[in-house]
Amino acid sequence: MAELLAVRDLGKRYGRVVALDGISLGIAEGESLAVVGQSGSGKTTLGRLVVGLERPTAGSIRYRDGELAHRSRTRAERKAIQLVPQDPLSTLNPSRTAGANVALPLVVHGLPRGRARLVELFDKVDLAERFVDRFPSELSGGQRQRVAIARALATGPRLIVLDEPTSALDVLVQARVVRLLERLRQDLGIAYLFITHDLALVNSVANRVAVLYRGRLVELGPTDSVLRKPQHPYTRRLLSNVAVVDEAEERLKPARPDDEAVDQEFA
Amino acid sequence: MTRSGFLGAVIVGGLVLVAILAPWLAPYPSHAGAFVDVDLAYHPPNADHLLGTDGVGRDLLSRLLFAYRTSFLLACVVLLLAVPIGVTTGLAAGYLGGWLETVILRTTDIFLAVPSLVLAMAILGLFDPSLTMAMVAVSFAWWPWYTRLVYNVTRSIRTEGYVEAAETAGAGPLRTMFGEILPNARGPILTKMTLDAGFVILMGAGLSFLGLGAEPPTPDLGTMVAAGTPLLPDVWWPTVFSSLGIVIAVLGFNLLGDGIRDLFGADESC
Repeated sequence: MAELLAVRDLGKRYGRVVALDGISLGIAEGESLAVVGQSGSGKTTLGRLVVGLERPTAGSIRYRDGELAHRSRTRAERKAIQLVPQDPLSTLNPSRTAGANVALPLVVHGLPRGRARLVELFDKVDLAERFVDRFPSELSGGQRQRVAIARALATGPRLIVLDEPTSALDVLVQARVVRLLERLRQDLGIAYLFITHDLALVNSVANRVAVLYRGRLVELGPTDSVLRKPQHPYTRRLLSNVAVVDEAEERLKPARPDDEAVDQEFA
Repeated sequence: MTRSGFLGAVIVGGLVLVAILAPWLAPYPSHAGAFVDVDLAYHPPNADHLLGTDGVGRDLLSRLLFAYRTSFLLACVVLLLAVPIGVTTGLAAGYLGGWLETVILRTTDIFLAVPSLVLAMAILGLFDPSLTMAMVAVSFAWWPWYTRLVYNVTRSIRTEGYVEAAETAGAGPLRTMFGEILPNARGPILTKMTLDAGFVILMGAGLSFLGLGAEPPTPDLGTMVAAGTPLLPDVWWPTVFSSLGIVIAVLGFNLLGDGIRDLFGADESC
C-alpha cells in the first residue's frame, strides 16, 4: 500500500514541557492506525499536529509529496485531512442546525452545498433526511457524533483524525459508530488516525497500533501482535488495565441484534 | 421567561411605546420645547396637569414623556457604538491572542481602572457639553466592558470541538470568529446590553444633572431632576416625578436583563 501520511521525528514542546518527542510513523491509503496511551501521553497532540491545528517544533509531516509541518496548508491539503473532535457535546455548533454544521466545510471550500448534497452526506452516516433540520440539542450523543463524521466526510478526505470519537458514548452506541466507521473506510478507502485510550476498542477498529508513553513512541505494530504479544512493559501494563477483552465479551459487542432497527424506531 | 423578566419586558416595551408616541400621548406636546407661561409656573399636580408644572409653566407629564426619547436615543447610540467595538476587540484578543491580546487587554485595563462616570466627565470636560458629546463620551467609557465580556466567552469557546473542526475544514479567522464563536456568545452579550441600557440611561441622566449632557430646552430626566432640587421640599413634584421616571426605566431594563439571562441559561458572569 502507498504511504499516505508519513511522520518523521516529530516533536512538540510547550515551553519546557515536551509533549511529543521523536515520533516516526506512517499511515497507508485506507489504513486504520490506532494511537493509544494514557492522558498526557501526547496522543491528542499528535492528532492536532496532523490536522494542522498546531505546528510541530521539530520533525516533518509529509502528506503524499507535500511537507506540511512548517507552512500553511493548501486548500487541497485541508480538504484531504479532516477531524472528528472528541466531545459529542461540543462537536457541533449549538446555534446552527445539524445540516448547517455539515455544510460549513462545503461553504469554506466553495463546494456544492444544496439540500441534496446534505441529504447524501447524512445518508452516508445512516441519518434520515429529517435530521438535517434538527439542532444539536435535539440529537443524542451517537447522532451528534455521526453528524460530526458526515461533516468530516463533506470535503472528500483521504485521512480522518478521530479523537476519542466514542469515549463519551455508551457501549451499544459505541459499537454502532465503530461499525459505521469501518464500513465507510471500506466503501470510501479513507485512512483513519484513531486516537483512543480504550484498548478494547482498538481490536475492532485498527489495522495497526501505535503506543505512546510520555510523548514517545514505545511500540508500533499490527493490532493482533501488539495486543497478544506486547513487547514494551508499558503496553503490557496498559493491557492489564483493560477491564474486558475476553473472547465471550468481544463476541458480544458487535453481535448486538438489530439495534439499528431499535434506534430508527426511537429516533 | 420568568415573571419578573416578563414584567421587565412590559415596562421596557411600554416606555419604548411612550417614547415613540410622545407627540400623541402628551397632553401639551408644545411644552416639550421652549414654551413659557409664567402664570402656570410651579402648579402642583392637578386635573389639567397630572404631574404639575415646572418653573416656566410647562406640563411635567408632557416633558417626562418626551424625556424618554432623549434617554432611549442615548442608550441606543451608546450601545450601537460600544458593542461593535467591544465585540470586535474582544473576539480578536480572545481568538487571535499574541501581542494583539496584550495590547487590547492592557488598553481596557487603563479604561476600566477609572470609574466610567468620571471618565465620561473628564472627556466631556475637554469639549463643549452637548447631548451628542455625552453619547460619544459614554460610549468611550463603555466599550471595554464588552471587550472583557466577549474576550472571556471567546476564550472558553475557542477550544470547543466545533471551532477546531471549522479550523480544520479551513475556515479563516474572520469566519471562525464571527460565524462560529460570536453566535454562541449572543446570550451573555444580549443580557449585558439590556442591563447596560438601564445603566447608560442612569449615567446620561447623571451627566445632564451635572450640566454636562442634554441642554435646555431639550426634555431630559437628568436636567429635570436638577431643575427641581433647589426648590425641595416645597416644590417636590418636578424632582420626585422625574426621579421616578429614571427609577422605572432602570428597573425595567434590569428585570428584563435578568429574564434574558435566565432565558439563555447563562451564568451570573455578566
